[in-house]
Amino acid sequence: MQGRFERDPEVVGKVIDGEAIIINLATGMYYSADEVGAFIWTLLESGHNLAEVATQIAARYDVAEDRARADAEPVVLRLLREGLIRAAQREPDPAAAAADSDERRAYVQPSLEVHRDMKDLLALDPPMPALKRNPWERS
Amino acid sequence: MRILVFSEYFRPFVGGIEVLADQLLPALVKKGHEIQVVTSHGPIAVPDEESFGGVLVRRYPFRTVLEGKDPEGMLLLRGRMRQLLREIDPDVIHLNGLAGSHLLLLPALSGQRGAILLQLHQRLFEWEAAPDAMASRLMKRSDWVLSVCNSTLVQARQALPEIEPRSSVIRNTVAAPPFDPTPLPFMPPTFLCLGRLAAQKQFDLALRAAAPVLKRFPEVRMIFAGDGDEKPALQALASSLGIADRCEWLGWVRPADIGGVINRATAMILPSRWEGLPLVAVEAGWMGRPMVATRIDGVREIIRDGETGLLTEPDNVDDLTAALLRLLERPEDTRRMGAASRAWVQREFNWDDCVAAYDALYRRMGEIARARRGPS
Repeated sequence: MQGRFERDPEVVGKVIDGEAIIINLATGMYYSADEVGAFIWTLLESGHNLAEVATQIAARYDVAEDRARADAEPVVLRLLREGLIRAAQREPDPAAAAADSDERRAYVQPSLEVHRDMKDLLALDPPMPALKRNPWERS
Repeated sequence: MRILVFSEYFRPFVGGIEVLADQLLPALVKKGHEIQVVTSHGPIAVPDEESFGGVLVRRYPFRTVLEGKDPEGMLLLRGRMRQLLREIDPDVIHLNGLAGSHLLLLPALSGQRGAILLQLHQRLFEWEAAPDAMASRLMKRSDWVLSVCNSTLVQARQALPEIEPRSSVIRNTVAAPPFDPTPLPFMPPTFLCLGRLAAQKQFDLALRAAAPVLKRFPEVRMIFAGDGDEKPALQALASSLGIADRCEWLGWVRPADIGGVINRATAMILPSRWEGLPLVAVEAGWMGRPMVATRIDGVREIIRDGETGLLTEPDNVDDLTAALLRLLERPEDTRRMGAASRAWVQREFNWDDCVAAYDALYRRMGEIARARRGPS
């Protein structure tokens, strides 16, 4: 896994305060990741390869680089399998790895949570498009 | 106790979950609980915050961000939910039903000290038993799993046996409508389909079953009380079956007026694909109407076949036609079933008992929260 990656064009994602939500618009699947997982996403979608991801994790979190790589690789593989990232030929965006503090943060093993049933859950309870007035009030 | 009810749908939406909550929560406020509801905005403009019956309702754009596939909106709402739980610090978080918007609440549940009560309102589907499904996640995370019917509780316990000692049933019911039941009308006989006009309710089956009935009994009328995505297709089907002029479409009916609408019916039809324990069946009982419904899920726990109504096989038009014909050919039997349905609901679906059961469960959850908080 030497190559660089980028976000698949059918995917939208956002990271706020160390939390990521990613949606595959083609499949309707939702994903979430916390802290280290969200950081991995930020780095991958901005063109970093696995080795660079491990280096950046070790710089930001209190973890050795080889452990960071061993933990990051299954997340990267999962993102690839789920069609959320794809191989890219590009230089990484260094801003994605910019540290916001000199202090290394506590490390938690990264994971990518898959929410396969969101489409089904949303379909089970369709909204009431025909609702024009409040039926609880007298007309 | 401080109770935070997370209910994706609440008034102004109309459905079983909403009707139950609308009656139950003010009743529990009278028992001394402090209750807030967190719910979703919908298609009509309603306030972000309002109160009714002593319950504070807060609305957020959950469905908008989920259906709009807006990750930034979702993350911002997650942050607001975390902040809200910190501010309220509820003793009990009541997850009222399984919903997509729980995705926005999941992170806020971590680290908070209240007891989590998950309520299941309908059948659990096979995909909901997967380990990473919302149902499985929440059942694992919850301190108690409550079902509105035995049928769904059995499914939940099969999906996750560990919930056995922390799960129970409080059978669905509603307070008696403020209407006295009138005699069943047979001139003309009228069948009522009450509920969302959605694929789940399968009211197309009711139309297909009614068509041959109307050939033999041309005076029969059909009333559809509700609205939804399926309405155009249902109206088109009625036309193609040649029975459009026998059908009346009321749209959404104010829940307080439901008893009056049911009084217009000889019997009610509910050919649903899936259910929990449908409140419309309880309402039919309160108004002394027999119900013809599919032999599924919690429907079997409210309708006693041949005694208080008739049960038909799922997706079976001929079975439903035969049931409707029976009601018309044997009016005395139909009246008997109507009276029996009222007596059954009065005896077995008592509203005060239901409120007392929820009160007791909330207090039990409160003890869990107190133990978690430790001595003050």
